[in-house]
Amino acid sequence: MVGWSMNTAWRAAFSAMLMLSAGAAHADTPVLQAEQSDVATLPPVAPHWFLPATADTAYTIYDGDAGRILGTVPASILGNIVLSPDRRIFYVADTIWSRVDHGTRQDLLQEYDARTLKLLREIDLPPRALAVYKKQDFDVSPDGRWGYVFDMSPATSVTVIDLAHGSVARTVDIPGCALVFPWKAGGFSSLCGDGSLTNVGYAGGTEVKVTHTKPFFDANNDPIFEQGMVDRATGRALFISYSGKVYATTLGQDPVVGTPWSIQQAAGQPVAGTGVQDIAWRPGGAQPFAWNRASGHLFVLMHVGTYWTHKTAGTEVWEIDPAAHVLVRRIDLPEPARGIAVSPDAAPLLYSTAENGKVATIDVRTGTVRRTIEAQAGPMALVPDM
Amino acid sequence: MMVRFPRPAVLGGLCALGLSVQSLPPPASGARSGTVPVVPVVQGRYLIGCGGCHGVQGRSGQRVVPDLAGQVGYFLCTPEGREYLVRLPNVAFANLSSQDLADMVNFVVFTFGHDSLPAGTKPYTAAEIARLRADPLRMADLHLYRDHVVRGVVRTCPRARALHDYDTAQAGRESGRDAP
Repeated sequence: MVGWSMNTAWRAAFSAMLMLSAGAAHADTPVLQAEQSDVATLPPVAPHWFLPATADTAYTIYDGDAGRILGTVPASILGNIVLSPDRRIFYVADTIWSRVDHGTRQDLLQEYDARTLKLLREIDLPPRALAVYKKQDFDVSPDGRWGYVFDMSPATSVTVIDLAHGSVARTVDIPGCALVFPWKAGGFSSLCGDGSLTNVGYAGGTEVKVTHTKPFFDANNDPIFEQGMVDRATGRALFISYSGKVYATTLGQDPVVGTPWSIQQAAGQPVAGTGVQDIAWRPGGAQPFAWNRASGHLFVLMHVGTYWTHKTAGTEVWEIDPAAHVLVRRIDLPEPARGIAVSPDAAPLLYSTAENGKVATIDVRTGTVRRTIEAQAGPMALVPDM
Repeated sequence: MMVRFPRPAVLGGLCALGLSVQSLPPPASGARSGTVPVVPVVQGRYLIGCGGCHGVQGRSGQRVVPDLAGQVGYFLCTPEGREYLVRLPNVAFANLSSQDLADMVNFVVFTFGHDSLPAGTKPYTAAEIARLRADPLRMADLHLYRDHVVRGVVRTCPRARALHDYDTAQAGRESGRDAP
């Protein structure tokens, strides 16, 4: 009985609404506006733009302040993205197959105009038999002249692309080493399985100069994360070990590796060890670090766990001054995050990507969450300059 | 009735399981612990450190990753080839003592490479491994160096010609002539 009377009431209300709208239509017939299609042009790349890898199909350009989508740069699940140092071109190094998941394999570097997102050029690359999306798989020299694409076939090498001429300059084997960390000028370094860096000097032509540092970290017992940060403007890099030791390094033909120091010690916490039952605050995640250019501060995704939990999502972000080795602040995250990025400016936004693909934009100076975006984002995101 | 009914099915399942375990080929060493096959330590180190790309049985298709099965022994035809295998950084940098690495390389060479091994080949010793791994290959054209080593090997052991298949495929990929 109750159900019947409620249904009746609902029907009556609905009928009244229909009659009301019919009456309004008689009084003033709205004119349907025809949509005008146009080609939009984006404003210049701004410090608060960020581009998470989204839904395995693209890098989506967000305005971090407005939380609004500005555009889309297509990229496969394997695609790596770099913004040119002059902020005018998005480069995407990608691997695709003619029949999506099989067929003829094509490796290529794509150039998109950062204002129009028009595909300007595609450069064929030698096959990189194994490729994943990771910031450190692809970078561009600070003068914008050379692209460096890491290949693992599974023999490791780096394809150097002449971006001025749009062609492959040469491939450099980096036996036993991996990834790409560009110098301020004239080459790049890679991390090696014996705990050293290999340093490849290249200025065009066929000649390369290869040097190696002495091993400086323990690749077997406290390896450094693949996701080290490099500031292309200075050629300085921060390499961080699973236990939280920071190796500040100036890259070049003969890199200078600083004495390692502990993130936890800088924060007034016990130094983390490498024991299987050694509970401590530790860095972890898929992209656990970010570096703000304006302040020079390092941001680290931290969680509590034992040694070998370096992929565990972080519950806090620690802002550290790597020059003074001191903690600036700890930021509580709304939910555990797998990856972080920080805008390069003096009023920085922190982008924290949760395991469910949501991105929280956080005002670094207050630690407050400005908004949460349902972005379907993977852990890696691009921000300008870093 | 309802409670007892499933019992024959469970027993049948156990019998099937027992049969399928017995029908597995015995592991290389023949070691067994109950009905679970045990991978010998040396083979386990191969699987963890090398088998992901080179294949569980040392077969990887040759064009992208060199086959070890029936091939790797050829390298021991020349002193340079013998040194090459250990000076490869992913061998030299292995997280193993020189004795353990010697045991693993000997397993690869003598088990997978058996048919390709020159008669009278001596196993690697820990001292030899220690000396070779201290001087890893780190040149910017490692593939060119492999080609050079293989040429030397083929001159001594003409049967080793197939080792060049990898170099040819690699050079083709590099020049963009050939997709993998």
